[in-house]
Amino acid sequence: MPLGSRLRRWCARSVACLPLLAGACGSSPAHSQREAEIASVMARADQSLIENRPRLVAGKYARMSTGVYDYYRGSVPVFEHDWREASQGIARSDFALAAPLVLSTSDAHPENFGLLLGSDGRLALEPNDFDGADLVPYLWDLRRLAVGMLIGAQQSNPTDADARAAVRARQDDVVRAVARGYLDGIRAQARQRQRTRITDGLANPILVDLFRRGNKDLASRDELDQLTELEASGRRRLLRGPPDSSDPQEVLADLPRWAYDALPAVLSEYRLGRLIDPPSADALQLLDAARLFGKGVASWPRLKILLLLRGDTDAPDDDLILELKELGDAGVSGWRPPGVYFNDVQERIRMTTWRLWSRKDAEPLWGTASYFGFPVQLRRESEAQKTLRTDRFEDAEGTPEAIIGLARILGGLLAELHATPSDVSAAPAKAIAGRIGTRDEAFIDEQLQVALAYADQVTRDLTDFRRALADLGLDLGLPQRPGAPRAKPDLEALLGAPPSPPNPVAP
Amino acid sequence: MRRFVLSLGLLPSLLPAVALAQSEPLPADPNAAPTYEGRAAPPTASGRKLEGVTLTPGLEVFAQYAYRRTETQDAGGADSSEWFHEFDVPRIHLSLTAETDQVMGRVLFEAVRSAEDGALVGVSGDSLVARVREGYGGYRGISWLEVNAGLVPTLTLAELEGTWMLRAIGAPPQEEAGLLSPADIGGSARVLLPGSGPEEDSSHGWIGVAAYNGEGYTNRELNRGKNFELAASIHPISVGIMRALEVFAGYTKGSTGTGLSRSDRATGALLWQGTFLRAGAGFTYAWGLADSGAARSWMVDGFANLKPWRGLIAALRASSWRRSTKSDDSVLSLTGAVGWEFAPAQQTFLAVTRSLPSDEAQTALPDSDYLEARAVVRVAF
Repeated sequence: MPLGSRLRRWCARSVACLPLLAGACGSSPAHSQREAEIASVMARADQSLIENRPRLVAGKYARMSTGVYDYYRGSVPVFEHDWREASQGIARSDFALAAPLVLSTSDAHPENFGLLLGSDGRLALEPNDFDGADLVPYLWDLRRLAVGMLIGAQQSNPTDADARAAVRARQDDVVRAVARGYLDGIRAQARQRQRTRITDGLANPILVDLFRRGNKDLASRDELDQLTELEASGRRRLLRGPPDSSDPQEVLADLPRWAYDALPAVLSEYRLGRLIDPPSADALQLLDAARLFGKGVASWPRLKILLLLRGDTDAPDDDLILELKELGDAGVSGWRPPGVYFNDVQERIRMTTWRLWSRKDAEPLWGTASYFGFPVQLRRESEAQKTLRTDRFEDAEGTPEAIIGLARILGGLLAELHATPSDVSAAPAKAIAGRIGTRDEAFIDEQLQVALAYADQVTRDLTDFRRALADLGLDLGLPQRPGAPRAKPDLEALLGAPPSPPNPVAP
Repeated sequence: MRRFVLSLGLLPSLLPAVALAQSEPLPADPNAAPTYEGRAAPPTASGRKLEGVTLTPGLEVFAQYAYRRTETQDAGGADSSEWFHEFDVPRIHLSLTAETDQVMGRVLFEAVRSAEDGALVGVSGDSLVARVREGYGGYRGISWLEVNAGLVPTLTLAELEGTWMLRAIGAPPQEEAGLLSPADIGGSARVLLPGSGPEEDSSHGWIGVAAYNGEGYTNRELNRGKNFELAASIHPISVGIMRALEVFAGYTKGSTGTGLSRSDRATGALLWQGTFLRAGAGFTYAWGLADSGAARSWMVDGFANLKPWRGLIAALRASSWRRSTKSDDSVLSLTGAVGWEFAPAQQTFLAVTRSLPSDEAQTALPDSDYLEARAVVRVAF
């Protein structure tokens, strides 16, 4: 064959191979760089969970896809990525303070506040989610709260467009109220630290409603009606299946026998551990236990079990329900060397709850233990312990004034939390107040600009997240290793079979 | 069917012939690989006797005491710094290299903390655990070609660190910043360029290509995309003192994460690989950073490792990392060190590092503004 012909054929083959080479270099299945970024960050953060419990993670992602607020709740890894990589400007500030870090729940959005039943029998507004509690920059927390309140306001009054428009017209005031409440609070705390216990609604319609509903269910022990049934023998047991037919994802299911049999030891460790005022061993006698699926957002894939306990007497009316929840590492830890301020996960939970609550026994049954090697948290399951929900920002609880008032109260409460002395600072409030100085308007304006920009980004991110689920699947494209079992049989049995996750919302 | 039955019937008559052929005596070569005739081979043995194989064990340990003072911004009268000190072993490496004249293999284990910084869930608390840093086989049958496959060292970082030769004082800043990984799973090939000098190792350098998974040696593959690296180390003069001069260029086309975010790197460096002075200045540009395909970042780096008198070592390293080209987000790092080489196997250093972030970088990385002093002992065999 003539050299010219061979050369032409070689060139033609080489050109034909170019797409293969490009494929090997990798063409992203994502539609945009931000979609790819979100997918990669979330998959990296959830990698071990996706590998071991893909169906549960699929449930979480489907839940996150349902709306902006749920996406915001579940996307802390993206927030952290944006903070550290400075790509979205969420960390930029003229008021940044590298140290001291402040003790925090690490995710101070409004739905991580709620009512807790103290040992004095009264309900109080407290931080109520410590899964990621650790030390963080104060602005991290303040901005999580400001953006969360802003998104809550923007999504308020879902069935009343006029009311929603009225709130949106004053959305700047919502963020300003968070910042103003924080500013006033941190200054007051710098002068004299005082942790206020909020035991009523403070004339704010949202909180008044929260306390009203909480006290009503406290009196009626509504959780016993909703989660249990009385057998003919007069003995109480937990329901199986969905306790609420309108939410088929929240389901109670049987535990394997061996998993059930291990629970008394967990209760013993929990009781003898570090509870402030531990109940008697008899009160913690196990009557029933069931695997709980479909609760929370970020913690959706975590192992959760409801425990029905005897209570003070054999009578079924004082039976007690605890929720056992698997804990992991705080996703935001490691801000500064040495980065470790607690011996283990359980200690991290104990020390942050005790210090951040208005009193150590704000929820006297909140404790920790270990279960098959998992660090776990146990807390009272009670309908009285209501959580703030932004989807209740409607009607009388959805007016601009109500939301702005709540923003200011939560801003002030956050300042009180940040004033908590810790191992890294005896008086963090003084440092923060000193850093802000007297530049009130500049500080408030900065928080407003950052919150507005990031809330818009979160709204766009939800679309990209939905696209990522559509393009990459509910495992966000994490490659499956052929033939590799996803979880060991005992872990699979312990995790149980959750309901099939719903289809994620389409982009 | 009849033909099949007939064939089965003939089999016994064939067996003696097969057995006769098998029992022919083999030439007696003591270095020949055993055939394992009549028995199963061991499941993991190479099947070759050790004669003719050179085994080289290696050991490198850094032990240090470090004092770090983290500076804070003006806190209105509050403490303006925090400090921490600890004994540490930042490197424990154990390696074994096996070589014949044609083939080589190498494994390198390193010790790392089982939990990442700040994490509480680790192995037996937060124990030091062993993991594989390198594990590859290589072909050396042609004098000018090196081919490796497995968990292999990457081309660019190995050249920069190999010029610096003072890992005990600090890792290459490109590695610390997460811009480049020292090893990855894949394969590499280097063509060694001949030299014109009388020295046996005279060379004009090498040109190398490599393909990796792209997630570094600490992570499993997360996407279908593969990283391709092309690098060239050119020594324009291959004789005399000037053969220490090297011009290096490397380019990696890559991706990271399940979303296949872009992760390309281009590095250029001017290096001096002398006996008494080893120095260099380099520039790395990154398209995509830490899962952000849209991010652009660059780093300039300069270093010098001087042995002015007997065992005395003086070193200086400076780097400026622009984390984002869109904003004033940068970290400047300066390290100075003096050391003494008691023996080729033992060195001791006193090193001081100052890390200076811009305001924007400090907000995102509160721990990046620090002064660190270290006393380091290195032993390597």
